[in-house]
Amino acid sequence: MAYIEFNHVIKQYNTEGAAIRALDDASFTVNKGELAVILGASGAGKTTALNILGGMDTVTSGKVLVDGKNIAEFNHKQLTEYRRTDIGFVFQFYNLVPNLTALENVELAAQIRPDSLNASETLDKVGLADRKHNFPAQLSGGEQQRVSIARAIAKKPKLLLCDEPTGALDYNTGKQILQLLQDMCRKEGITVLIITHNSALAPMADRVIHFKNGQVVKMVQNEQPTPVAEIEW
Amino acid sequence: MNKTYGKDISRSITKDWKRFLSIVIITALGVAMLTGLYASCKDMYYSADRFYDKQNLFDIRILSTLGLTQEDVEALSKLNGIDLVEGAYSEAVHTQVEGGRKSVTLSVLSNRGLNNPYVLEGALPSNVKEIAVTEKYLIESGKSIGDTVTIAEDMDTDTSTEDKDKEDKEEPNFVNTTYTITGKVLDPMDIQSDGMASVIRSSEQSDYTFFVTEAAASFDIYTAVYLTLTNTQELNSYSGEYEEAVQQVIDYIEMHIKKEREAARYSAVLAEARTKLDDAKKEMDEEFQKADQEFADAWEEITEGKQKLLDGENTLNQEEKDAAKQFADARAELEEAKKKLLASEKQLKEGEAKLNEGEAELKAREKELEAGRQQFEAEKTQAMEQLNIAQKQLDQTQEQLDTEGAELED
Repeated sequence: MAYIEFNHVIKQYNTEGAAIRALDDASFTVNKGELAVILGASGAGKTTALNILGGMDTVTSGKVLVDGKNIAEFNHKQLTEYRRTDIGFVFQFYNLVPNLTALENVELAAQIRPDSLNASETLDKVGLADRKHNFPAQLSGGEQQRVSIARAIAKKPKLLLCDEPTGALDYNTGKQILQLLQDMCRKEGITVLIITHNSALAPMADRVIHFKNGQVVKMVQNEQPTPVAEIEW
Repeated sequence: MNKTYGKDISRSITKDWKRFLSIVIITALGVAMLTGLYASCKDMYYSADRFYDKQNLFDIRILSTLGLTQEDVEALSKLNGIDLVEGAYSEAVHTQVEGGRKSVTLSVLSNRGLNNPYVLEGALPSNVKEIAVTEKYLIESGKSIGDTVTIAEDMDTDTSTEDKDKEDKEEPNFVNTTYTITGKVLDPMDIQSDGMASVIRSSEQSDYTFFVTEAAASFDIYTAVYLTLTNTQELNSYSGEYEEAVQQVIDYIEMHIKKEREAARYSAVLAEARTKLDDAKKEMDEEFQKADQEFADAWEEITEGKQKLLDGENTLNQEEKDAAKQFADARAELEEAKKKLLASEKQLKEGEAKLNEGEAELKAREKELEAGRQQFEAEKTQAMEQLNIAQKQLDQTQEQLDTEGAELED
């Protein structure tokens, strides 16, 4: 049984007149410790799928199993608990707290979960040992994204969800971030899901899921993932 | 809330302290404003309620177009939960202020302290010559406590509609027309019209309200009956519980007392009117009878008069005949006398001729007399001359005599 299982999920928005389906019977699976890349054009339903998986949105019908639990049936309180303990989220625009230093930003996440990693050590892991006491405004985009990743993994999540993590970064910095994410997956054994519209990233993943018009059109298992350093785009 | 989250909050405040302060002030102002509004509103309600309780203001007022009677008051006082029932009397009168006619509601003070006016200055009236007035009157008339006020009752409207018999003419309901002002008061039933802030508004439209003692008025019906309830003193006059408690009694009165009393009053008034009507009818009958008698008497007189008239006519005819005869006799006499008169005239003329003759003779004699007189005068002058000569001789003789006399004496 797969670690993550999206089972015939339908997400429907009822607007006036016509009903719009952001997800139309989408199904995919991801195994534990895998690095999965979700590919698709804008409006294909990637972000909706990620939001549902992250417990930030609900489904209209279908099952979403994470580590054997159907989060589609969770109530508000259970979803909050799920987001707090099981999910790490990396956003395109970092979403760091501007009034807190890098270290404090990570501490903020670490302190809401009882069994968390040491914030300072986590920042060492992402290569920001000497920038711990800088505020986000004093950090570059890549550094901010590293803080963001450190913040996400400090909670020891079951699942690390990344929504266009390189979208706001230049080529080299993006590559470093992707390398970091791949390392996290390999070394820490965290299941990582990366959303991107850049199909060049597909080779680095264990599993590539193609979205189109709210449906999963293709799911490819990659037996020999390419190291990020060798990928060019 | 974890430690780092707290840090974020404190930094947000210190970094943007101006914004934080603005928000705090705005919020404080808003809260203070709302609290103030709510509190002052409540405060006004409580103040008003305490005022009503203190002045023992009524809970229920009963009015009737025909006024209310002592029987009505007695019927109401049998109700449960009633503290006080009292009939009150007030009347619309007039007074002169600054040359203008102003309307006044003249109220009789309750002797049980119901709807007691709030004394601002001075004291409530204690005898029939005293009166308490509202502040508005004192301001507009320029009078002060100790001055007098004159009222005029408005009676012409009533007398014009009712019959004009003297016994039915409306008597003045108040003993005096001039009173001494003893106090400045606030009418608890109308605290609006004195220009002061209030939450109740009186429907009465008179300019002022005056208060006199019960002894100053005489009346047999009440213009209103006021009730206070036993369990309403501690309730707020503006609360739902109060309204409910009062409404219960009102409903009871309307269901059980109103109809019965209305019917009783109606029949009483009707009976009174019937009695009056009967009396009038009786009187009318009597008067008619009297008139009939007088008619009959008059007819008799008329008949008698007619007979007399006939008799008179006969007498007249007779007398006319007699008179005509007398007239004829008199005319004959007159003719005769005329003839005699003519004869006399003739004699008169003859006499006149004789008289003329006599006159001519008289004139001839006069001439003769004149001639005689002239002769006399001439003779008289001659005689006088002779007399004068004689006198002179006499005087000479006298002188001789006197001289001789003197010689003798010597």
